[in-house]
Amino acid sequence: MNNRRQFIERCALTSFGLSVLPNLSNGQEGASGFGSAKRIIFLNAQGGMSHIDTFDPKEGSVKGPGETISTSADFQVTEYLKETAKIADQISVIRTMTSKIGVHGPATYFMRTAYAQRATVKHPNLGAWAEHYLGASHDTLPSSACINNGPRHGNGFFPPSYSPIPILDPESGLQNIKSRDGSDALKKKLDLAQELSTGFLGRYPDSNVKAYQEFYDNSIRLLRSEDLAAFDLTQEPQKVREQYGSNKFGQGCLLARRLVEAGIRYVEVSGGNWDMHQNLEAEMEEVSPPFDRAYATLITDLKERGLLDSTLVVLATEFGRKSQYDGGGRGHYPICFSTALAGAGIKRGFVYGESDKRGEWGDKPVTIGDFHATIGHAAGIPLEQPYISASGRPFVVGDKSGKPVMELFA
Amino acid sequence: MDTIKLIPLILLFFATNLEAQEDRKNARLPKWPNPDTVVKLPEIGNAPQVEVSTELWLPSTSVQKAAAMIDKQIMAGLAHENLKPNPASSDTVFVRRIYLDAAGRIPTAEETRVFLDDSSRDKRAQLIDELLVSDGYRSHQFNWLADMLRHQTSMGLRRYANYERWLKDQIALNRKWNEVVSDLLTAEGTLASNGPTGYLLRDPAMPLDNLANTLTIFLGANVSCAQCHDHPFAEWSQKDFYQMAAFFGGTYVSDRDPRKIANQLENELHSKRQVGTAVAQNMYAVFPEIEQKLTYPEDYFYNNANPGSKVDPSFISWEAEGNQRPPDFDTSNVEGLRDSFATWLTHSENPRFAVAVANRLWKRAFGIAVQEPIEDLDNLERASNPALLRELGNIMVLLKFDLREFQRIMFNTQAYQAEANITPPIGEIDEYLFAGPVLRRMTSEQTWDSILALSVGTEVDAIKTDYSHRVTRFDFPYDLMTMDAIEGVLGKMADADYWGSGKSRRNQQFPEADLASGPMPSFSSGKGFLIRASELPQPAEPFHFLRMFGQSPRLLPDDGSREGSIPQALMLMNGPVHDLLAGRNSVLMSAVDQHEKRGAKIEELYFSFFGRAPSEVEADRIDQVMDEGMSLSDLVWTLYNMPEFIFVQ
Repeated sequence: MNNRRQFIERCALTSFGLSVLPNLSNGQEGASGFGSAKRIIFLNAQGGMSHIDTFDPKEGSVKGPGETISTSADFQVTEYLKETAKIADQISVIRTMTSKIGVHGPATYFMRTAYAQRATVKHPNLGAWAEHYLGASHDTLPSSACINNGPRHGNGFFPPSYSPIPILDPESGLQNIKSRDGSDALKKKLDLAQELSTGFLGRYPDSNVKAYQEFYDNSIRLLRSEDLAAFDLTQEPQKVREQYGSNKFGQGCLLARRLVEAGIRYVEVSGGNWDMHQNLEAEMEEVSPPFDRAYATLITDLKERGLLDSTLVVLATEFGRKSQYDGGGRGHYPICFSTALAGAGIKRGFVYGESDKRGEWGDKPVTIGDFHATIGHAAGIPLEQPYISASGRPFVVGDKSGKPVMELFA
Repeated sequence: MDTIKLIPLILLFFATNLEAQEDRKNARLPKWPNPDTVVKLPEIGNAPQVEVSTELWLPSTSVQKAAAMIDKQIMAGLAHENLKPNPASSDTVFVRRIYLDAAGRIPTAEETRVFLDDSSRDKRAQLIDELLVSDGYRSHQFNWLADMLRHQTSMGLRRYANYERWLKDQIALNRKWNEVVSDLLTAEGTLASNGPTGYLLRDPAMPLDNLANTLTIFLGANVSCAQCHDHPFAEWSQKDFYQMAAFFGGTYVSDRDPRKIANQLENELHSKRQVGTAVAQNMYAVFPEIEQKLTYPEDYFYNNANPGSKVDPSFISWEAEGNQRPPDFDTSNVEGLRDSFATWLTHSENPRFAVAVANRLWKRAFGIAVQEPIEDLDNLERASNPALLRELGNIMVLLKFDLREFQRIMFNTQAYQAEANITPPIGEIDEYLFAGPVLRRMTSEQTWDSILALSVGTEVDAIKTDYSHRVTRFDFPYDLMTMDAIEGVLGKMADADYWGSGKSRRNQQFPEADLASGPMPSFSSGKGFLIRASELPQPAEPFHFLRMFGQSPRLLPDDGSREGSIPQALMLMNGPVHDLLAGRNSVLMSAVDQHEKRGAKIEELYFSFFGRAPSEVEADRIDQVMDEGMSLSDLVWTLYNMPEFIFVQ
């Protein structure tokens, strides 16, 4: 069995273009930006943000309802990003993102993992990758969190304990953290539960049961953590809470800042309803202001706290939207769209790649694999060192074809 | 009954170009109003309740025969790999499993004992039959369907309660799957007038997404790539996808924005939102168009069609299936486009329709499907046991798509009734050969419903909500929707204090109009109404127990999750579950209190949580810790925090 597995590994690695032993000279250590991101906030604009109406404004027949405005940097955005325009000199925009999938579910999965969805394997998000290579980021808090969304197998093929802790409602934070009784009484009950479970656990050495036990252990550790207050937004001054905006995305961004500050390495925040098929103008007016405000506030806040240089803020979305616009909505368009990176060694006020006049094709396409490899590089993950899954298949951050976009690093 | 003379307001709704008006005139609906028409206002109330049909038509000998045929295929598959089936599960394991799989919750201690004490030979088959005609079956089956169909009770101003009521009724009536699916695909009218329109109106303005999901859910067709480009592996090309989509290209799925109209109708009596809600349920509608209008996208990449040209509807065929290819249909009649599509899709000779739903139900009962993933059946030979999958498809067809009879057969197999295995490693899941079902965590809904049964008792099964009146009350005839009609209904509703603020209503009694049948639900301040998951608004609020335990947010098909998480553990350890189970009003605790002796109390708890008596060692140990001062309430906590509670053997 073992031999068979080793054989598969070798075959897989060879066909993969990788050597069996990690080739250290190929690592990015020493390269610019490597390891500059001690923390990562991954913002996910749900539904497919229209690049033409946000970060990649166009003129002529494809132009959307919003006017083009100038920013504090050398590039322009639309008026839907008024606040972002003020901090444009802090961020890098990628205008030539490209994906293959135009359906929300699989496309979101792809953007989140850089792998196409499969039945036989679940792929991890970047937080789990980082935990695998870099270890836990804190001794009592989890290493990743996801806000406004479930964990969605974020651990992928890594242990379930690498799964992000889900906060479905940032206002409520982490619930049920007050234990009914003192730690001695709690321990007594837990010990008894463990003891009475001996028979069951012996009969079923099941991975899901083990995972369940681990969540209990982690919960107990968390309950005893002095940093538990990180989950509590009420500890923020009212003014700061208002600055981020009184909505799930805004408060989610604020919570993300608190969590990375407390030592959680990787935090995903989902939000917005960017799937504007029918009435783009009205929907942009509704969806963009809270986003714009939260995003700009997050960047400013991190900067003021001296955290931006070591925190990577990723703005992602599953795809862009079509160029055709007749006053109604826009359809899905994965071939060319925009994302943004900020902080942690990323250039400031920079645009990578240009799309054509209609925003349909990019001159220097950045695949989702490249995007992930870039983030992985910033996080200090050895990109060329594969992880061999239980079934003997090698996996790397950004899939095998993803290469970091080095031009993005200052 | 109020009657109102109507003043047409239709120009507000259809201030579009004359050409489009001309088109619609010729279509069946909507017609132009006659200003003199007098119309009755819709009733404010629910349709009469539909009881769960109790008719199981397949003779039990046939059930056993079909179950044996399935077992034969499983044995052959196992034998081929030199594997043996698991031994039969014990009655205690079986009773808990079948209650969860057929009725959606664990059995109470009493129900378990009744089964264990029953000495008849065919008691398992009898219990299966009993549970399949229970209210629990209706509820459990709805949870499955709602997850698959991404059902939400409301989205924006759209209300899907009439649709939800219709779905539940179809389950209660045990309508055949092909008929249900056919209705979903062909229904016409508005959200207010016709429940099943809710399926196409789930995604107004996103017909391509809707179709991709239709093909995935009902046929296991992996088309998520073909929507934008040729599928790299499967046979689906982008052209295939568009040709299929063209069957819906003769359909007008209204996606107009009701807020615009609400802005114009708003007055001091009724808010914009109230008017918008009344209008929305009528504006979102499905109607036939005069012609098929779908065109290839402007950025169409391949040279087998011209970008922007009209698509000819055509069914995909599966070459690999050879003569199993579904029959061709004449698609020249444009008005019948969706009808032809539905006929083709649900046809018993369509090699994929029966297999897809059988494979799904199998996964629910066994934890793993015969072919994984359930959303990609493009090559049926990739099943772990292709002969078994074919057999399941054949049985489904023979049963004429009766999902309940199918489950009845499945639950009667030796394979289902065998001892459970642990979850295979992730890379081997698609090779699992069903020596028995797989150990799994209860779904979110099963967990919640089980806790309720312990806390408020089994009468919770009978509490049925029905919010459909909140939608059907707005059922103005589409072509007669007028200012006065809207005013009239809104006035009636204001009189009935319908629009009370959401918050205060929540703390008041459950609005009686929302109850279809059963006793009044109890209310817990921490958890809201104590009714089964299927009767709560869909999906539950993000911070509800159900969502925390993985209820699907209903954005994607089949997105419910059994993953653990820290918040779940915290919920069980510190959350209101303890009050529900060990609190003063708990049905469980009053049953425990009936017993004098400590040993009997412990046994009652063990039967309630695990469906079995404690072993001698367990009983002694508990006795000991209680001597040392552990309270009964702490023991309850300990038991439901054990994996044996939340996992299904």
